[in-house]
Amino acid sequence: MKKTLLSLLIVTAIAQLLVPAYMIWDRYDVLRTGEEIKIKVEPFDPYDAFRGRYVSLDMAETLPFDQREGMYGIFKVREDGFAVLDQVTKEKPYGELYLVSEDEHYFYFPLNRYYMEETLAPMAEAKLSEEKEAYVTVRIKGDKSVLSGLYIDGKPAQELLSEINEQEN
Amino acid sequence: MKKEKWLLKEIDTWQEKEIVTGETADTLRSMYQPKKSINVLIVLFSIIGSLLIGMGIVLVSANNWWYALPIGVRAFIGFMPLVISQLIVFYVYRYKMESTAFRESSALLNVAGVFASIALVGQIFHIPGDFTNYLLTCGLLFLPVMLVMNAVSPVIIYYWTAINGGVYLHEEYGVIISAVMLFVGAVFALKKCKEKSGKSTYLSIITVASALTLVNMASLRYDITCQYGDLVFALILLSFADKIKGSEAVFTLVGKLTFLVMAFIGSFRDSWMYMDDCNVPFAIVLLVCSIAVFVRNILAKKYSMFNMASFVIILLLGICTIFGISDYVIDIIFMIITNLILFAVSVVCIVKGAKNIDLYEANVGMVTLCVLVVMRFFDSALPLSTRGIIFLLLGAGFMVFNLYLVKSKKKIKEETL
Repeated sequence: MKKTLLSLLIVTAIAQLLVPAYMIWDRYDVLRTGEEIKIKVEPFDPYDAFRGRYVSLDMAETLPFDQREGMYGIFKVREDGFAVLDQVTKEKPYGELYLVSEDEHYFYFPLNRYYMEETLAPMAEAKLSEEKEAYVTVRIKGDKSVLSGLYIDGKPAQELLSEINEQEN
Repeated sequence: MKKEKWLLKEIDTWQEKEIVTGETADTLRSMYQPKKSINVLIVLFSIIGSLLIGMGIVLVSANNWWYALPIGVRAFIGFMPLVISQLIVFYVYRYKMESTAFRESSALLNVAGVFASIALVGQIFHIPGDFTNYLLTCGLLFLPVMLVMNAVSPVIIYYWTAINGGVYLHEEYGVIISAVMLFVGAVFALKKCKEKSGKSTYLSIITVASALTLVNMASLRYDITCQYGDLVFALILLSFADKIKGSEAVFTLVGKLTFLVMAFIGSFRDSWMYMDDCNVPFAIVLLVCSIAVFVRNILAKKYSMFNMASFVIILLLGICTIFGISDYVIDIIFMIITNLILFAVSVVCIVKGAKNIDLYEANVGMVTLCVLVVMRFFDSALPLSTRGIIFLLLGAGFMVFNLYLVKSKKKIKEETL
């Protein structure tokens, strides 16, 4: 009995480690090998008790609601280098850069959280309310996508806000 | 505490006055030493301490102070709360398993480790994943540790993860996972109750509260798969908890209540019309489980009325969903059978209650009958004439039954005279 319980404990410990390990591997692979696009965003600042403060994001330029039926949002890169939502389909697209919505019926921007240091997240929101231009860089590989950076006026948000924070203090 | 102190002083006096011998006095002293309360305090303080440390770990990691570090280092740090908690669990399992304080604290620390590590990975990679999925994953991951460490303190967190999943996850499988998780929790609580553990009352109360939440949720959402799962949950609770007395009898109460709520839902024709919505593989698993429990009951010669009744409805639901034979006539037949089962249950309860002068049983029967009558009176799916005939037949049945009771009572009186 004791051996069975110990085996169960070992299997559980491995499972507990495998879940975050898989989450890391899954995202890290996309970050390393995925194709990068830039999407303009409109942020605001909410709070998660477990993961901390984050800047909640939504696309600055999107399609009207009636054209967003489906869960696959295909993005096209414009001449200015930014990607915009071009069309939404119900079937999985091939050979295109697309994001998969969590909602099965309508496309909503799935990468809607950018976690930041506790004091920087509200500052990011304040800066962005001054009509600063913000965009995110997204790495895409097949169905998977990972947010790789948030930029305000062309500068990485963490860097810009840390500088401002230091100046103010 | 005060009584014990007084008694210890008295024992000294008795010894001085030679009322008791030194040996007897020592035995009495060892019996009334306030050891137990110290133990309880140690356990309580270690639980509170672990809970606070765990919450502290979660909050400190949520601060995101390491954002400037390379991603690999952050991922490594992300694993630390989990790995440390696992090491503590293994240490306690190997060397301190007999200590309640160590078992409870290590299990709680593991809960915090799981919550913190998954949250940290989510934070590092900006994973949007919703809160409910996160809670369900954490609940499932720390469950085996809770069971192996035989720890009671994480159970309430476990139920929270399960119920949150059931209430907020709109996918069918979320509700199923939630029901299964609650069932595992209930089995654990039952085991603790049979061990006559001191925490059994607390466990009973939180299990009952969680089960009731699930039942209410299933009824409100009108989710047929969940209702099916709940009926099986009721059958299992009724089958395994029927010998438990005292405060633990709440399991039987929950089983009966769950059965009644689900059977009342099945007493409407509408509920049989939507059998196609039920998840077929899940229905097969539930039916197989129920048959296994039913066979076990037969072998153990447990012929409880509630067990039998819930099994018959589970069987009807299984036939309907697995073979997809739901049509107008069959819906009506199954609805009538469910109504007859409820009627039979109520009558048997009233008769048994009256016979054994058991007010609880008699009242359960009366309430069941009243609810059944009121439901059928307002059931607009049945034509007025049909409802009228049913009521007339029921009334006549009651009269005949009463007549039979009066006659048999007279017979018994005559025989005794």
